[in-house]
Amino acid sequence: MIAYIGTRLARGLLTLFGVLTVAFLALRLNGSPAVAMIPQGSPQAIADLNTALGFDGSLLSQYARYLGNAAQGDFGTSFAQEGVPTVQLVLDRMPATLELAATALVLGMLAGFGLAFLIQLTDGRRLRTAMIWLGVARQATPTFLFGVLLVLVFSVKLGWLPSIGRGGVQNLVLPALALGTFEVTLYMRLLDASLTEQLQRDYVRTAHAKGQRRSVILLRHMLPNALLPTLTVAGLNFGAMLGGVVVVEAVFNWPGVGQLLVNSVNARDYPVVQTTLLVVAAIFVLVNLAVDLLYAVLDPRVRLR
Amino acid sequence: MTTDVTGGGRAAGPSRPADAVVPADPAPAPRRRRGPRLSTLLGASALLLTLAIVAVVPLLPQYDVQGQDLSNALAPPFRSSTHLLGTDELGRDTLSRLSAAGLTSLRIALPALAISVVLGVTLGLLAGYFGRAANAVIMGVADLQLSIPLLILLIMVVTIVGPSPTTLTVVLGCTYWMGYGRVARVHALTLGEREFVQAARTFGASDGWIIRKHLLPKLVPQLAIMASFDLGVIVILEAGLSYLGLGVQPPTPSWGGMILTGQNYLQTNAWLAVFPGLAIFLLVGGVQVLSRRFTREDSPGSQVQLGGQV
Repeated sequence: MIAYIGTRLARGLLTLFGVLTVAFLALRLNGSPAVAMIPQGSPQAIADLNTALGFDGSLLSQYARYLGNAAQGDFGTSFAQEGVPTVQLVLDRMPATLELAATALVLGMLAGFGLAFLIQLTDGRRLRTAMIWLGVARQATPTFLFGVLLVLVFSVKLGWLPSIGRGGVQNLVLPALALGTFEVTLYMRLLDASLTEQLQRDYVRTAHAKGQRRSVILLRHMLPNALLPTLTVAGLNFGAMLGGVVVVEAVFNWPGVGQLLVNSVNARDYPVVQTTLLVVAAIFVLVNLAVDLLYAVLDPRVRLR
Repeated sequence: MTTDVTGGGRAAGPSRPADAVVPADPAPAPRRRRGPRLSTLLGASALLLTLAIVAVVPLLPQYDVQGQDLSNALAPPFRSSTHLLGTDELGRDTLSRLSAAGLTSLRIALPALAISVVLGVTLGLLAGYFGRAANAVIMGVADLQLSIPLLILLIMVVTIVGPSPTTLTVVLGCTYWMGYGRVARVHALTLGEREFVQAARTFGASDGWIIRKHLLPKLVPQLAIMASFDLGVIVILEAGLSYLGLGVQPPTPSWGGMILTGQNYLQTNAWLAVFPGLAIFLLVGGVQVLSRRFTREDSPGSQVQLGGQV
């Protein structure tokens, strides 16, 4: 078990190292940012600013310095807000993003699982077909468009909910719906398929034979076995959701990491962009690791290596 | 999928003696349909409608993408024949811009799709066919790309190279190959061990010959299905980037950009955001419904959204 976690952690760190390198190289392809920041500056002023920003010397020495600082937890300071560590900027925005992403994930899973139970308990083939069609329609609608449509209906036409900003629960409803509805059908189909597979097992037949209630069989006997494939896919799709967070934050002017990324890109604030990428990749790696570990806890048959 | 045990009502006891004679659960005969399915019809007509808007509208006499008419700004749709779908905040004709934006989108998405298919198949076959070293390198790159959500990767790359239709095409093409790579690799791994490939090798066939004549033909149908689905995903990715202001730049019309400006006029003229949204929905829904028509419902490829949510 410990060896397994170690291997997975090592692979995750390797991935993060790769992301770090790619981000470093990519953002230096444009040349020095000083020219963009003070276009009329004298060569001396530009050189001074480059030194101050860490853009002097050869690419390799810049890279070595960047890695050395990163190893000490120093990911540089923002260009736009001078002297503020980028890590602090990203971490400041993190609660808003996590609040949104977690709410959307929970909403989506609850709805998907609920629908799967309903289909299993009522043999609801029509419900299943209808939901699959709804899911097709939702996935053909870009999330940002769905968000705009939600604003149009619930803020502009009905006036029920606020359309922008972060605050109370009412601010969270529309962004979480925009983000969470994308994968409802996916979770429903996955759980429904694996529950249906469990139905044919002997232990289910035995439970029926002893007169156990159908809902109890579903929740207590079948669900733990059927949950595993769904969890894996949910973990893999978490990355997809992190992309969705960026556009949803743009639609609803939600003050999260996605907005920070887009704003920093527009302001050419390279260190912030780098750190944001790294943090997002780190979350992604950690979530996948967590899903793998959860898999092992839930299913003792999974042989860890 | 049919199920045997459906619950309390049905006898679920130990094996009945009749099992030996009568099959316990005879599979229902597959229903044969005469005409095309409803879903196929819907998908095809949605696709044809958007293609017609892109292809036919430029032929109309009132086609004018950039012409401004500030005295007639934000005109509502369905009132005049010169501006059938109304006008935007600068008095430009919405129908013309919708059509031109569709062309922009397809001009980016189709070449990008071609790049990603060619790149993915090439790398995947290399990884699957030529053993461990190629496999490790190519799959390592794929893992790295998959560890950053696609939209965030796109945002980063577009910032560096600058947003233009050409760079968008290349960037989308280079960031979307992993799905094809994975399929081609598995394909090469399984087929590479089959007898007919071994036989061809015994007869002195070169690797290039085997790949071209034996591996690729069997891969094409699956690639076609995947690609038609992914066309929709790439259209959505492009629209998302344009919505964030990082894709197609104004004054070139794009569906994402039209929704972005339309969002400012939801109070007064919501159609400005709804029409381009409808166009995206019809195009993407059309190709994806047609693609799903040929996909097995539970195929693993449909579970992970490689393109992610945009």
